[in-house]
Amino acid sequence: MSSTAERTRVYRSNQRSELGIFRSWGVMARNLAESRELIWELFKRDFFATYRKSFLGVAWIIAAPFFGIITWILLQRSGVLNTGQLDIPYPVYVLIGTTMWGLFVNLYHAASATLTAGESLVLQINYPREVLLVERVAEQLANFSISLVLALAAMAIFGVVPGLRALYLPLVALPLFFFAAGLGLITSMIAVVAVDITKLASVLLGLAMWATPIIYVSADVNSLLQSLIAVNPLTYLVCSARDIVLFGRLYDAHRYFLCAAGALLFFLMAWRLFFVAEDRIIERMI
Amino acid sequence: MNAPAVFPLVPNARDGSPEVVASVSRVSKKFCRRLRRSMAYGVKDLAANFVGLKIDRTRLRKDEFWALEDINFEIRRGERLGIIGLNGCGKTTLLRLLGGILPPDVGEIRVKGRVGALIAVGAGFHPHMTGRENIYLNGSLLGMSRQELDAKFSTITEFAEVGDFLDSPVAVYSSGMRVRLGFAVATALDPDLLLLDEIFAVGDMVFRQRCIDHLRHSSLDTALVLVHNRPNYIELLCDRAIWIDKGRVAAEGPVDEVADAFLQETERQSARFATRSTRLRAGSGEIRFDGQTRTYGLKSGTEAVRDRGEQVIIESTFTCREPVQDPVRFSIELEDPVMGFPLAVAECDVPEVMADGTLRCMFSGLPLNANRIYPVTLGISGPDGRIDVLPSATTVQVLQSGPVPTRDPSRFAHELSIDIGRKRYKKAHEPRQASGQPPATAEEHVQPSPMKRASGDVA
Repeated sequence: MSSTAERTRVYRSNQRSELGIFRSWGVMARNLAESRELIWELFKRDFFATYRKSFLGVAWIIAAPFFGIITWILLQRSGVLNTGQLDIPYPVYVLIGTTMWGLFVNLYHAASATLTAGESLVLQINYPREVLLVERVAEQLANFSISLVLALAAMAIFGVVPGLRALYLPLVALPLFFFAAGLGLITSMIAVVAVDITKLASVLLGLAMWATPIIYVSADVNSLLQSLIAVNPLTYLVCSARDIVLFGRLYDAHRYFLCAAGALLFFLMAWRLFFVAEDRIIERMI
Repeated sequence: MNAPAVFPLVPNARDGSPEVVASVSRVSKKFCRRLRRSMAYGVKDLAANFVGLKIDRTRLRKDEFWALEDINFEIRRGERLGIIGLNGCGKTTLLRLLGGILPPDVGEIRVKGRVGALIAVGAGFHPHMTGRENIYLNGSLLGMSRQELDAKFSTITEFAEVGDFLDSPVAVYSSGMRVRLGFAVATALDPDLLLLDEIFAVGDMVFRQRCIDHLRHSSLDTALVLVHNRPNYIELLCDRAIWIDKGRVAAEGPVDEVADAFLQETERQSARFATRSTRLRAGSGEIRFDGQTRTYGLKSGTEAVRDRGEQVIIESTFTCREPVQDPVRFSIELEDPVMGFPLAVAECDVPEVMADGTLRCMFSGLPLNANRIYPVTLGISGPDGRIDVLPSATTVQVLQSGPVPTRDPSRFAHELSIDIGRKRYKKAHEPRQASGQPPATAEEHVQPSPMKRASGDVA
């Protein structure tokens, strides 16, 4: 941190919009690199300290996905589920699908509360606010890895073993992160001045889940829903993450890469906007 | 807020004065009065940012106002700058601007090096984490590295005096302990610029005194900006002060001059309020302390009393606007500025007030400390409640601290006399004896009083 000690900071109106787009990404990346220790301290606070006041403690991180998995297995055993045309047991299909969907939704929620969650801090201490985004995302990734391990164990119970290509998952899921974080950053800013947006986004996300073939197989549904599925970018992002684990392939490689590039671009723009508008949004938090 | 632009702020080579740590030039900041409209402006500005439009911040839109307007100052290494002002004058906003939490709308602020801000003490503490963990959390929020925190850990715990509680969750700390911990972490940062916002509003008197000692003997490299609405603390700690009134600089200069100007103006304002309504100045107003109140030492005769053993005399005049035929109690209260409670109280009852008069009180043996400024509150009350209360009517100061007498709050010897017309009412009080005897009090009317006392606290 010796570089910050020497630095002279200048505060001016509209200062950040004067900075070029590429420079702003650079500044934010540098801020994050300089704040590694802070991110770690905040992560410890939010990830571990949450469970301080519970008897089961950190076991809760496992408990929630565990009971989710049990539900699916029980549903399958009772025979109420229409399994559709699948080479693998339906619960495994749904389990991995919903795990990936859960990753997206949780990342989105984490990012969308970037400013509001740190409300008390944001007005008292000056530190790079993008730190909050990274810390909250890291928290979700930690949760995700735990539920993924459990889901893989459940897969094994059903006799499905993922191939080696499942190791590509972090790479394949990256665009999912970009899309969720970009969407979340924008809502986090609008949410400060108009709470409506958070509510609206939650409703829309709920609907979007039904337009993504994760708890059904797209070939089984009618043509209207199929065309909805086709234009929904989440179809490619979420289902590719699922399919790389289940079948070792992408959902629709061509469209997946298109959506991935779009997601990255979207995230970079959202990040830039956050950088420029953050100050102005914070003063509305008073 | 790490702006990449780097402008060197170099020491002035010609006069050799210390380096400028922060400079504020032509800075203005606006806020919006209405929540809905503020939100609408927020959405609008955000939309403008989306499409890359520049927003003109120099003009006020509907319902906006300047919270700070055209503020200019510099602060150098080792300097201690106080910012005084009434509530809502923009003090905290100015601190937030200096700390880079909010951006200015007009003008420019440059800050060199590290900034330690104590705008809310212990911001970021997690209640379920231990004191030890919170030191690391809070420290890294303020910009300290883990290494640095390891090195300063013992200094922090020593100052915070958390003792056995170090590994207990902060939730079980008393609020005083939390404040101590927050202050200890912020000062351990060893910042180039330290921003403190009303830190003495919390914490007990021992802590306040320690903070003050710490800040007074703190490193010469640190520039301190202290915000408080009580000028006593500012006078105690700062060399220079800025008085902000309704977002503008009303006065700037040596701390005593600025504090005097501020106190005079506040008095004038509260007096004006008092004539218009009784909102600010308490009391029903039949009798008013509206003349000069002065303080001097009995021997030295100067305003600042030479040493603390010396008798202190406080004099004031009052006018009688409407005759009061009920018994009236005059009181003088000397407040301890650090501890914030009455240090000495003198009272005298008068059967009626039919004319203007003067009040004179002599305190002896007050345990006053040098360099502190003790505010004096004058009060008149009748059977129906307050007639007039004049806070900070004047102040008492001593130049040299003598030996500390007993801290027994059974007060100090005093003699209070009230002159109304040709009559003089007088009450003397001797401090309680060690044997536990009730305080010896004597009351006399030098001129015979025509009326019998209807009530009184003295048998």
